[in-house]
Amino acid sequence: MNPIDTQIKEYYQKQTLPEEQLAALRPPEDLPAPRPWLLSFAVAAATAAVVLAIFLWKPSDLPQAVAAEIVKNHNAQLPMDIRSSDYGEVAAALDQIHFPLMPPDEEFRQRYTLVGGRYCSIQNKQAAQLRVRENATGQMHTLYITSLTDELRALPETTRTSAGIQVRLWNDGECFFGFAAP
Amino acid sequence: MTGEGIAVNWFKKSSLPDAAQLSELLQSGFRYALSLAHHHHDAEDLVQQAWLRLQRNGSTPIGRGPLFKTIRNLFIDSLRRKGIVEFEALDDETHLAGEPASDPGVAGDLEYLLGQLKAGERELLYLHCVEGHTAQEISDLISRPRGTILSSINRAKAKLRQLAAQSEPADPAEPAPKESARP
Repeated sequence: MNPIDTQIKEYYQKQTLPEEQLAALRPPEDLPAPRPWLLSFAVAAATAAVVLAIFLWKPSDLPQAVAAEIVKNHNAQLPMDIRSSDYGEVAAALDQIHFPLMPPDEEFRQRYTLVGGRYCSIQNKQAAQLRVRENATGQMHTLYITSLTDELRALPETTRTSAGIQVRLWNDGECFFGFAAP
Repeated sequence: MTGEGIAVNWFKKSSLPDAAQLSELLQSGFRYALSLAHHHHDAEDLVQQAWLRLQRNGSTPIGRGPLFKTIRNLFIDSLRRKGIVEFEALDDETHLAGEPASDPGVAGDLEYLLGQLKAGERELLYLHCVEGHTAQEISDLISRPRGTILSSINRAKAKLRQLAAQSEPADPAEPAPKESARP
């Protein structure tokens, strides 16, 4: 096999159907039909458990959870929905995003060149994933932007490491940012 | 792989005894769909729709052949709905082009470069490079002459090389092949 064949093979072998999609397509196990009263009891118990979990669950380490989610997105290498070096063009293409898609500051704009963007989510909130190239080194990084929730607003600026990737988390009072640097 | 081998792979491989093989089949279907659509969400939709359609038709257990075929048909249907006719792009009159003596591979963002190819070209590259099918096997699958398949594969590779070469001077900051593996 010559190098271009290998490159193509490796590229496609890296692409995978998400686990939740796989799970949805798998046939259910062959189980005997539950009795009606047992089914009602199970539904009631599950509902009670969910309600209890919602009231009692507190994130033990939200910054680490956000950083881990960002790293997971960063490593997924999913294709961009729009390739452009223009923030306006990317914002126009990602028209379901209702917060400003702008670089966090002028220094960021000068240091990194936008490559493109795609939709993603952080903590179940819609977010934008922007791929940027560091002008000095050519290294690719990803910037995540989402709107501020009360929980995200309360997070102090921090840098976390997950799976060997550094993630800086901060907000500018209007949007929440996460920046993953390999 | 022989012509008989392809029949085994595509049309007779219907036994799916465990979850691991089922996952492998679905992942394979997804990658094939991705080679056609070059868009993750569209590829996910294609494999899901194909799978559900085959289940609805009572085609169980579902094999690789029917799955790929259904994905292909759904993709062509979607192009027709959008009024796009680029898929049937293979030219029977093309001449065979040989592989270059030394093939250094392509530098740059392979995802982007593949996106510049036609769906039919990506499909051929996928079937040839990833699934490992010979030109004859692909010819049997998509009912086109073997010579056309061979030249189309070579032409698609040449196009990739040309695109990579074109993108290099315009984007000097683009790092070497390692770069494409990073998001």
